[in-house]
Amino acid sequence: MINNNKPDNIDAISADNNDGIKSDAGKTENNTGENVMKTTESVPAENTERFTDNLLLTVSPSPHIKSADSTRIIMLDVLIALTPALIWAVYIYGWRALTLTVISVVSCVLFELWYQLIMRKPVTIGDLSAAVTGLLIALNLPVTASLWIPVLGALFAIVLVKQLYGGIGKNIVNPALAARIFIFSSWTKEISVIPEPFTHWSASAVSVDAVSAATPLALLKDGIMPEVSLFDLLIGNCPGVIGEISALLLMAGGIYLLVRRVITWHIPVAYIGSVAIVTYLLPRHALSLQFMLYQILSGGLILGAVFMATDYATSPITARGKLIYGVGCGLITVLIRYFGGYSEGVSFAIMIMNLLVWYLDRFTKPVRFGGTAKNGK
Amino acid sequence: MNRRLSFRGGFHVEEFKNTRKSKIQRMPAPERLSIPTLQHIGAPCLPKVKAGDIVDYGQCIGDVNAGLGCPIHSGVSGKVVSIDEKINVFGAKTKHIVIENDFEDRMSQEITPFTKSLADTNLEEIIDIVRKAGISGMGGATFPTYAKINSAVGKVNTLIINGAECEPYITADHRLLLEHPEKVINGTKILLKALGLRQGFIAVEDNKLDAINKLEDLLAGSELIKVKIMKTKYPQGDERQLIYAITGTELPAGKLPADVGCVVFNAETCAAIFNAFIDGTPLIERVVTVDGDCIKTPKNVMVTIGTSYRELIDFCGGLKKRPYKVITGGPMMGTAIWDIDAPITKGTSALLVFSSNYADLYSDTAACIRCGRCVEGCPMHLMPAYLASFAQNRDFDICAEFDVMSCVECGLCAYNCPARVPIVQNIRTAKAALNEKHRKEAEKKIAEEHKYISEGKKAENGNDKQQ
Repeated sequence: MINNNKPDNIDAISADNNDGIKSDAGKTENNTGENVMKTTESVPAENTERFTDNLLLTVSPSPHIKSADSTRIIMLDVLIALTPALIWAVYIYGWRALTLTVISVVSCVLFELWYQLIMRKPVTIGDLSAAVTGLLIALNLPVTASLWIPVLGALFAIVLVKQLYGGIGKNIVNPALAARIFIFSSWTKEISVIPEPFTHWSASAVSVDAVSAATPLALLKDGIMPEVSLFDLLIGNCPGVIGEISALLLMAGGIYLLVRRVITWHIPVAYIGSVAIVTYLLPRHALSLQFMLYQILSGGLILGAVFMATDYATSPITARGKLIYGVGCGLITVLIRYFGGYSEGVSFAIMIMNLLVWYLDRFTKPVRFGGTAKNGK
Repeated sequence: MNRRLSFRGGFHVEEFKNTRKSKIQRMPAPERLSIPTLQHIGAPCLPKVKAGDIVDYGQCIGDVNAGLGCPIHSGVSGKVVSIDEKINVFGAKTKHIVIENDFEDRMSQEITPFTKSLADTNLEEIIDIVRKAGISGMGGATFPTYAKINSAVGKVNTLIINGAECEPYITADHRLLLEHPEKVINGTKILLKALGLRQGFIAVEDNKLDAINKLEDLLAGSELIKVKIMKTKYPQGDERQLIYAITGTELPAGKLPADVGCVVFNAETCAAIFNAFIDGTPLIERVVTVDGDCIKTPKNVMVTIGTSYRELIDFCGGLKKRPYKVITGGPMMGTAIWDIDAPITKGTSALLVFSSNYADLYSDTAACIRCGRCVEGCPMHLMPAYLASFAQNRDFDICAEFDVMSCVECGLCAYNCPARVPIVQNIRTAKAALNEKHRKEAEKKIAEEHKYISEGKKAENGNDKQQ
């Protein structure tokens, strides 16, 4: 329930800030010098700029200062980091990519607002986490998706996956990923049409009729090298869902997040690294290095490793936990890509590892300073 | 320049060392001093004076022989007005000796410089002087210095002088090292002599390179004392982190530095020891950094102990904004006070006055987003996010399992928390609850033992009667 009175508020011992000082005329010594001059003419000069007798100060526990970071700034950084990839998608597929994104973001924010209003919870849409979920859902859709699909995805992600579990930080699986899996398994046919690059769609195109291109991953599964070059895969001149096409721009976004201290290197490096090692050592094609690079650059691996697997709520908070989690994601991804029923394994891999986060944290608890593994208590 | 020493974890918090260029100014002793009889960790002093007595500058006015006593002295000559019982800023009832300054500056007969050379001095003499001068740790923990020397003798091989000063705002030790490096160096020599060591380290963070250069110039080629340059990172000045950075040894929980062969003294404590030797002056004044967005002219001030916060603020030009919070000590670990007339004590390193811009830093309804910054920064390598949420659910046993008792409450997790969770406060709740639980368990055990003994006695008595 809402608790606006905050009975346990750490500042509660203090008197109300406004009543903090008895402002007898002529004794408002705590104002600026100018004010003092105006109001204290009858008071001896030595008496100005001193505390009044009835000053009430706030008493609260340390620390008394705080860094300027906030949840909103972090989420804004994620949005900024994803923008180049979105702009690229608009360039490749036309304005419809943006339409889908806007619908998705707006529905996520509105569903969160709606849920919090009817449940009488504090409204937290200002932290921008719903907007991030919305953007990620859209980036996981093909440009040909019907316009109502992101709306249903948003409903599923925000209400079912996030809010019913307690809201931000409490959800067990990544809302955007859950929505992606929900959409892909419910409307497989509608969602499987991934057109060739530079087949533009106008912003308002309601229904689309496109010829699906063969995605590189589907070919790789059968051990066939795709025709698209590695360079085209890197810069994003290839078919794919809205957000996954340009590996380069996604990596640039990842570097931005690293520099801004939003994410650490552990998960992306462990994830992509383990995929690289396994596909290089156990390739399905004679050219193992090339096969490995195709595996890394195609599909949703970069998007997943940098932006989805690093979701705070659903990834471990210890460094060792993050490494194990990343490797787990990588191994499951390769397993699904090699042996699974789908050509893409990133979503399922991350979601399976999401379920293990508490145990990863629990068993990778750092050894406390001055404690050895033996007397870890 | 040398390698920067450091530890794993920690974070470079914004420094706000606004007063780094402000020379230490001496504040004239005020008309009235209020000197608490308890300014250290240990037993409170018994007043040696009574109302109406005339006291001299530097005269001992209180002492106690029992458990860790540390004498107190008058910083002015004048008349004892009263001995009041007041609640000090930490909430404990303490006697305060109030002295009215007669501005005659009569020196006490007790102040006599130590004339022997250091080479002829022995441990007992040093401990006696340090005790008589009433020196206790000036970094904030206020452990009596003579007791620390005593407990370290024969056990330690590394002496560390703590000039790291990692708390934001505070520059008192920085200015001291810059303006009076010889005092700190000579104080270190006295400590080395007392401890029978051949080498000591002065640890300074690399945001004080001017002070480091000065020390290195003075110590050029010295084998006795070496300057150790620390990475500027909070909480570098915590003695556990300092010991680790210099010796590579992690101090196990519940152990004293002496158990791993180290002893750490604050830089200003060293200077106080030197003063006690060279002039015979007891600890009656100290450097206090006065800062915060409400203070008109932030300064470093040499203040007579017993001066009130109010007078010190007035000495710094008064206030320019409406005060919201007054803090004694640094902003990360200092204590917010409610009584502006409370006195400056031996452990007051800073006085910060903040406006309501510093209100509402934390929120009880904030949701942890699990970003992991608290885990990354925790110098004790704990998981503050989990500890805070377990504590909030009052699940204190699992807090204990996650090493909550190792928390040093440095405040870094709460400082870095983007979700504004009052992490440290939640952890304190858990620690207090667990301490209470252990206390009750211990009491119960003792009560049971007593019962057992008394029952045994009864049984014995019964046997006696039968016989």
